Amino acid sequence: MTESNMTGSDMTGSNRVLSVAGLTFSVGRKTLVDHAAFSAPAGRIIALVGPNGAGKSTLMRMISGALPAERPELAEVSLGGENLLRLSRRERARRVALVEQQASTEFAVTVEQVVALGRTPHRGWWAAESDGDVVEAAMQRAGVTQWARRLLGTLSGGEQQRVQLARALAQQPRLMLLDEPTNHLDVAAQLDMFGLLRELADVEGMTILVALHDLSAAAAHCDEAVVLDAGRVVAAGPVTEALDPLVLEQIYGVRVDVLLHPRTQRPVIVFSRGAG
Amino acid sequence: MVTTASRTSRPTATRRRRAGVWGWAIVLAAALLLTLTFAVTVGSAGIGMVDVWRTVAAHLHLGTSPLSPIRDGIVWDLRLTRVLTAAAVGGALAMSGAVMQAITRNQLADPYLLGLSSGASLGAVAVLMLGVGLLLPVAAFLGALLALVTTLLLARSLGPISPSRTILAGMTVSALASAIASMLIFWNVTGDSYREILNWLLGSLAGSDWTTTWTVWLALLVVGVPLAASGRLLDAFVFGDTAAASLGINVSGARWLLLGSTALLTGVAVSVSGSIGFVGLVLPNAVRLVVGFRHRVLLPVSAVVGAIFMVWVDTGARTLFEPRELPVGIITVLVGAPLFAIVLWRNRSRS
Repeated sequence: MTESNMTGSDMTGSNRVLSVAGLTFSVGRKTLVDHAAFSAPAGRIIALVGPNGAGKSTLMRMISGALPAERPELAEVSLGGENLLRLSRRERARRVALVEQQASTEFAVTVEQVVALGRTPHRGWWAAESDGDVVEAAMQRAGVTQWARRLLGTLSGGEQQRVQLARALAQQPRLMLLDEPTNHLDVAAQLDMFGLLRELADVEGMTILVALHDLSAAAAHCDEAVVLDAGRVVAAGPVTEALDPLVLEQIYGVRVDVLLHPRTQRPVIVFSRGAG
Repeated sequence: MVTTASRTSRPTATRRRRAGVWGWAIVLAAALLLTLTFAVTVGSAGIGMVDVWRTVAAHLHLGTSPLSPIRDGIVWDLRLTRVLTAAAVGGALAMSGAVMQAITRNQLADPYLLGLSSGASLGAVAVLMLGVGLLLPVAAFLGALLALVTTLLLARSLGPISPSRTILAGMTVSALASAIASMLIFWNVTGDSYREILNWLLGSLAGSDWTTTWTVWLALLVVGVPLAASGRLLDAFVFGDTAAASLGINVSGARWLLLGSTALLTGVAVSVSGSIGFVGLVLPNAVRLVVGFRHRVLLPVSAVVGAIFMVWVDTGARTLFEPRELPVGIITVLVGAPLFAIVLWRNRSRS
């Protein structure tokens, strides 16, 4: 307890920041991500929002390092003052985990085997399997232990997403990237998911970047927001500032009003057609 | 409470699983050894299993052979080389198939998918028909490699390399290479040599000798053993390239290395035995149904089961219709096709 407090107070300035800069990616003439740059406090939940095709998924992949930037020498994804893109792939995969929107396979693979994949960057190619405890804990945390021996294909979409989250937890990352993790979830499961993310951020100090299309969910559950439009970051900051109605009206092309949730006192963002 | 219980039970479970793995490894190794020995005794000349081992011992300068020089020659130079070549070819094909299925994320992938067998056939036909001055295995291997590179370049030119693009490109290259090989055969073959080339195209181990034995075993040891050890790498490909990359895998490097390795293994196998179908497709799928998805187990088990399967099938090929011999490739498909139908059936009821 005291030890973590001390490390906490030691980390000051740039050490407590997730900083992204110089990320550009294009396919042919189409620029999917255009000089994306933002910074946000580490150890928080950061929403990545924007219309369909804004480049959220591409940016996620680039931040994870899975997709190399067009000008790697300019690219930066720093966490705690360390540029993750300069690390070796294995080193990076021990710090950053990515939960993709779609992850399917036609092979008959069990839930436990999927979660164990998260240990890949931690294991030597020759070492025997010895870190079952980490896998076990990750499954427990994501609430998938009861399915450990089931085949992934027999689970629903939402359940499969939880398995992927467990796999990402088994990577023991400091930065967790989630692409639309609540897509297949019903409302109760959505609240569970955000509850878990909140715990990871507040208790473990994990930095969480989550792509969402639901702006109200972003406003309700996230600390920070990054607004992406046509591959560019158009706003970034605390959710109440970044999710600015004027900015949102411009990029979504609809009327935007911000209400206050009667119980949680968090902003609720609603839309309407009409003269904007 | 629950956590403590699971924590204490886990190591024993792991230990038990590991003990089970070793138990199965011993069973498989024994089955392979028994298969090899038995297969040598099958056929005319009435040789017993003990004779086989005493002959082998004699050639290793451990004692004297119980057999007459002629029967000794049958065991040592004819049957043993054939059986050993068959085993290594079966192992190489099954393992290549498993690797190919993992990289393309397609259960229906086989070692010949990327044009390897047609490329190798073209190389071999070029030697047999046009008298290109290369050793047959070398030519077959170069043909396989050329086909693979063409396939990958074609797939690349269609956009970022994806499993489906790779497969389409492979089918294209494969069709082209077989057409060219057929044309060469059509123009150049007369009478007896037609039978010879057909034998080769359908897959046959009749040409086995100590050179083929050493060639294919060497490939299996040099390429197959590291491949079998890279199981965890293949596991990481299960959700695709991005997922693999985010787990710290050098995706394009790994893909080239693994494809190159399977090309080498398959190329060598095809060069000594022609293209033997279905082994690389069916066996890994059947083995996966039993041992599960993890490639650290799947690859070695596929190799051993492939070896055992191929020895039995080839023994059938040379003895079932004695004195006539069938190309083994016909039997693998005759046996493999129904087997594969069963695999598909079981998969349907599973998902």
